[in-house]
Amino acid sequence: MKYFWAVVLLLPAVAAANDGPVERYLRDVRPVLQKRCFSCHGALQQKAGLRLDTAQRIRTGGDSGPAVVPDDPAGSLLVEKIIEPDASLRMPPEGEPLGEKEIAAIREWITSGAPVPENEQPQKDPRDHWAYRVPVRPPQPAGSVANEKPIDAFLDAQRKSRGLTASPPVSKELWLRRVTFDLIGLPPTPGDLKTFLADESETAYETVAARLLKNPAHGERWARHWMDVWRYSDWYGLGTELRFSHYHIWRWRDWIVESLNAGKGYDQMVVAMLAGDEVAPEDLDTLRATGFLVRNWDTFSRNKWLDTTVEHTARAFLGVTLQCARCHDHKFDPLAQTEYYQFRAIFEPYQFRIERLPGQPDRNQQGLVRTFDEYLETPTHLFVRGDETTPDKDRVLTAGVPRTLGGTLEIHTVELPVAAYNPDKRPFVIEEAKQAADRAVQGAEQAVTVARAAVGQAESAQSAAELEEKQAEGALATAKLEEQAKTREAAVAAIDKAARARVATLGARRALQVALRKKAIADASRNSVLAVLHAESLEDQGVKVTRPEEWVAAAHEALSAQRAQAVLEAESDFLALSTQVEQLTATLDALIASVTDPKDESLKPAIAKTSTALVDARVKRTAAEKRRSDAQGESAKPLTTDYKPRSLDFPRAKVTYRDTPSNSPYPKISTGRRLGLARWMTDKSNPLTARVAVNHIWTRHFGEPLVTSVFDFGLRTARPIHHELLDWLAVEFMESGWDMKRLHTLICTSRAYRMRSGSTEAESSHRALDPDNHYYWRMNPRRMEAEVIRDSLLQLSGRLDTAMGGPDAPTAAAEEGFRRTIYYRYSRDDRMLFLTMFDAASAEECYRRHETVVPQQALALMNGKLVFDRAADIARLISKELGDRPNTEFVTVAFERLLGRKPTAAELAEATDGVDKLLAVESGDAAGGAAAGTADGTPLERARAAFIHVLLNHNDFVTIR
Amino acid sequence: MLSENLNPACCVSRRELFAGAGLGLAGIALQSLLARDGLLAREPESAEEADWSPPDGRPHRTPQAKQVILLMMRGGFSHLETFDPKPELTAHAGKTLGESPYKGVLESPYLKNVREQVANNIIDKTQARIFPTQIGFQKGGQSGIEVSDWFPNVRNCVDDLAIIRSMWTSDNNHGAQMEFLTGRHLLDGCFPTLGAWIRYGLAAQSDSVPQFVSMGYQLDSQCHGATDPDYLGPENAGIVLKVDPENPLPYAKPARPLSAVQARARADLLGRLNRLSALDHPDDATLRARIQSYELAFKMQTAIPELLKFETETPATQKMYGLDQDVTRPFGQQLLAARRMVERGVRFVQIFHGDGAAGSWDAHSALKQNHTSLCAQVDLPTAGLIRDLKQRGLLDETIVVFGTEFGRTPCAQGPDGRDHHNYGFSIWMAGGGIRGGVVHGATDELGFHAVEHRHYVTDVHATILHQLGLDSHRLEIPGRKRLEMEHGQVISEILG
Repeated sequence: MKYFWAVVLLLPAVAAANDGPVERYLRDVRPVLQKRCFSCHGALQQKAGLRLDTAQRIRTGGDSGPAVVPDDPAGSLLVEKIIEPDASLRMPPEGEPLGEKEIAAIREWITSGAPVPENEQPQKDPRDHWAYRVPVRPPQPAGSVANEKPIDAFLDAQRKSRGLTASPPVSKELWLRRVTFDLIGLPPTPGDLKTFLADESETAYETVAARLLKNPAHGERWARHWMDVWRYSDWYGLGTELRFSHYHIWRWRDWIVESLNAGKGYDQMVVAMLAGDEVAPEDLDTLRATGFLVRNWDTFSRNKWLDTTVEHTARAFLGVTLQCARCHDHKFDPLAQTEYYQFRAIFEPYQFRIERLPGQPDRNQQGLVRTFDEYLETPTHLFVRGDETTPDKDRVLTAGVPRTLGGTLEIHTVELPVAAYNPDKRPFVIEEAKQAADRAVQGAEQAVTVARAAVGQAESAQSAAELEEKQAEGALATAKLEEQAKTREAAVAAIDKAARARVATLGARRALQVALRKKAIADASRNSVLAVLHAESLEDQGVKVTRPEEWVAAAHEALSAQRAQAVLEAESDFLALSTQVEQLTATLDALIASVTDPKDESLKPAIAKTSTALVDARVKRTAAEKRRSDAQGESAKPLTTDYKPRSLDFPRAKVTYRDTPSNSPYPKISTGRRLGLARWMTDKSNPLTARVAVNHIWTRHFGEPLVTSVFDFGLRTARPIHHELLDWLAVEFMESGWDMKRLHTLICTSRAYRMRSGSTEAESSHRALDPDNHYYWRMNPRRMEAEVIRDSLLQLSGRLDTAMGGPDAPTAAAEEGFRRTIYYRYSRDDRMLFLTMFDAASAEECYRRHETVVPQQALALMNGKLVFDRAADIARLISKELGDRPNTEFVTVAFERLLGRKPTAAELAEATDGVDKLLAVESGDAAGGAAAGTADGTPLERARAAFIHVLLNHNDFVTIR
Repeated sequence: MLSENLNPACCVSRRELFAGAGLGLAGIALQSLLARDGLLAREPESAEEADWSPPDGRPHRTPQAKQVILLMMRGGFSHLETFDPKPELTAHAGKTLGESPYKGVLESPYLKNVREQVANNIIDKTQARIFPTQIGFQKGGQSGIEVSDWFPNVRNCVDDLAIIRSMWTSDNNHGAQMEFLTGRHLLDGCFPTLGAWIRYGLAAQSDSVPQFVSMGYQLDSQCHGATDPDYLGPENAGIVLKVDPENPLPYAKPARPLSAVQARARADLLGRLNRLSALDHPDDATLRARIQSYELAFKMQTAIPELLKFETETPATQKMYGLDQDVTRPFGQQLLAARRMVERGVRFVQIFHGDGAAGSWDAHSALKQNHTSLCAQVDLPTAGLIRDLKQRGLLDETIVVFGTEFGRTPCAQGPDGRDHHNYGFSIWMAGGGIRGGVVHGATDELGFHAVEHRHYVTDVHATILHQLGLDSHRLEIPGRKRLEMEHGQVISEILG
């Protein structure tokens, strides 16, 4: 039986020696019913009022009476149903019919009188699972110390039950370092430390927490945590081809940072991310939040896109592994396959688009990528075995949430405001249209001014030239014989110059005409734009109905302006073409006239080309003439209200790889399904949302979660040790308005959070009792996350650029760059190498970071350019502060700054000696010869930089104790 | 700028390495450090625990082998088209199992050995039809063991192999890949992998190369991947390497000029300071791991690129591994790197073949095309590895395992595929005191159930540990009781 453990796990009944009918029922009948029938006729559901989970209940039966008639298998409803030849009536309704042996066993049990085993237990109701019950605030444990904070009271009670006690408090220095990294992801400054050490009041710890929570860096620190959970990824694809997520997704990242800093409730954040477009359709700021859904875009498969959305929405917010029910009913949790697709139906209509933003009409350059409901009518079918090629078309599944979790999904269609379904109606778009028209008029005016000046100049040049011409002719008439040749030459030049000046004047006058026509068109165009916008706005305001005369007048005006514009444009075209015809005619005449010898064919090609151009120009002129007369004809007609509306833009993202995005108008409604989901999730009666969120937050303060499987609170997850604490925190969280900053404060100011992380001699028994610290008898030491290491190096070296927000900076710039790590590109295919060394989040999924210790991390910190250069900065900063003070002081300050504590006496001695040795090396005095380094500075400066480099590699730098 | 190891001797235990590495103050305080070491310092809770001591890095008995190269075909190769010929499949092709003379396989008690996690998603055993063998078999070597025509080169080495045709595993989904390495399926939680156990139990053979290396397509989505030491502590984790001598691992060189003297001075100081800190944190396993990681990192800077310098191998050797052909080169390079690693003291090398989430050997359809192409990638290099180890005298001390998470169904899935099959499948082992030219165990006539000398996947672990001189029971840590099935039983019949 060595390997038969699996059998023991799976099959509750094992053959007993006594092989009576009861034993056979337990062995051969009940397991079959359990496997095939309990899901509809058991604890969770009682279809037809029937339960089959105990023999007694089978005998009692349901709506149609007893399921079995003892001793009479043929007359038993149960047998009738399972042997029913018509597959549509047969039970069980899904899967293969019961096998012959199974049916025989059931018959036999009935024949033997359908005996009932003693104490047969009904199926346990999965809804009784601890995580599926609505959390209730538990009373503080009896016997807790007066004024004890609830977190500590609950933890103490658990510790006591195991004979454990809390570790003593850590030093103030290390607590400050711990809480500062926790809340802002950066080390405390010397000033912070000084203030805190000087503050001996009761509230010193609270003061620090409050200060840190007000620091904008807090939002950046915690945004990164939530970005792990919410799968933040900048765009990626093949080379420059966009395939996943989107260029403008960083606006979602900025929204997270801003929301956390503003203290927005977790519930509001969930609502905004899932349904920002339904709850605040006109608010561009809130729309950024829906990047949560945009991020799932998969250019290759709409199906995968939606699957990912379902999976991670359920795991991130609910701790439900709904993805396991995609191909079949969930193996462990009460989640039916249909429920997977009902959850999918919530997202079935969603699509994303790029919203235009003020100041930049080109959405590719700048835009807001956001979610909206597009496929309002697309039905959701169950995919048989999860295969999208085999949808069950017989059934359309409506949007729904897993029944086991309670509550109801309330869906109300959202009527969208005009700007939401027609973004071109947003005031800034209209304003920018007017501004563009104004700019066109101004441009045209300027062109006219320039053209006028040019005419003036040409006319004076012509007058001057003609004067010269006259004078030259006069001079020629009076010239002496010997001067005649020269004078004649001058006269010819003057004549030529005057002729050219006349041509130039003609050209300038023509150009002025053109500029004037363009100005007239720009004026007319602005008139049309304004008139059309006016008419549209009246229409949007409902004036068409309330004050029809006013609207009709506006529409007439719009049409009239458009007609005037059309006439001018046609006239302008006609005139331009007429000019062209004249010019070509003149050119052709001149060419022909210049041919004196009929045998000379050198000009033939030029003549042919010009003739062809002339023919074309004439044809075009004729057409333009027709348009002009048409336009004039239109203008002469009585006015109507049929003006031409603006051409509006409804661009889409590509749904899949190859399609051509449509430009059809956006729907005027949104289904409200996602808002319904968000409201259901954030309802206080949802058993999971608050618990899951609180668990995530706790994990990131204590290094260990209260519920280990942070994304799976299903039946396989046993009731946690600190269940009461979890529930207390969850209820407190909800009742405080889902206030995350309040939760941070509660945790960071608790006694538990103040414990030492190492165990003392006295606590060696604790290590034996609870080696994994499940009972929080000490703090867990943690390693800095990748981002914290980099940001701290920048902060300590005085280089950190605290500018917030903006498009993702290229990773190539990161090694030399000084911005916080969160602002560099982070995608599946492109993120800083340095981060990946330190267990950075997978952009696909990271509900919790790992903390490994591998030599590659040592290499990154020892050999990386970032660490070399910032170490030199830090050494310079400290040396500057200390002036001529000795190395012992340098070492002490370096320990305080980098490790958050003073060196021990032994460390001080070792480190000071170490700096001396480094100095010997840098001075070339050390055995083994001179240093090959080319670093700047004196040997002492280099030795100190080297010492800082060493300290940055110290275990206590990356460790938060 | 990392230091050379401060501890010159090879072949010392993890604990000795750590202890011996202490110089100056830390060295003086060594005894108190060890006395306060977490596990040593505990009061025993039971007689069992009183007897227990952490591994000292020495084998429990005389070892027959020193190192292991484990090749893992991800996705589940078909035993029926590789190492377990079944003419009856062709004879009864197209019949359901019930229609064949072997309908008894559906009544077998062995059916209950397994969890079918995806009950609705596997082929219906009663309806599916027997799928004929897709490739011919021929006898190889002196032993005349039959191997399929997709493995002509491995067949030539068959006299060095012990083919085990009676493997089974408990679960029929790809979580069984981790199960092959830990003995426990993913659904039971995360557990230390085989490589981590060996790293934990045996002292390092070298202080300049990691002891546990992983190459190929990693199991990232399963627990923390196939290098997971779990409760054995991070210092026992495997190191993932790429076969790229220019960039085997990032940050291998200092970004700013640094002489050896400068580097040593810095690293020495770091070592002293970290050890001082260790005095204040005697129970901090992570700190210990970090100290070790720095010492190893220094060595790796030169040792790892050197490992991957294939140009120092003769053209004949390169050809043996198929480095001259595009099809065989990727796997061949990994295997050649593996040989160079075990030569230099790497204890455990695991190499995964087959990309994609499930692993590319997962031939639910078009099995013939799938296996034709994948076998061609691995056959020549794998045979090359065996021959090369042998010619260098390394095969005697190196165990090579060619494994996969499960086999494939005797019946067809769709028109031309086979589904996951965990009731019976084949692997082979070679070297390190394992007899060659041996077939051990058997499946039934259809290759459905392992029926003779049945072996759960941890029997492979037990056999490997046995040959390395370790007893997995003695490695067990109080409070971390393992199931008996996780220990497995030595497959003594294949040992020399």
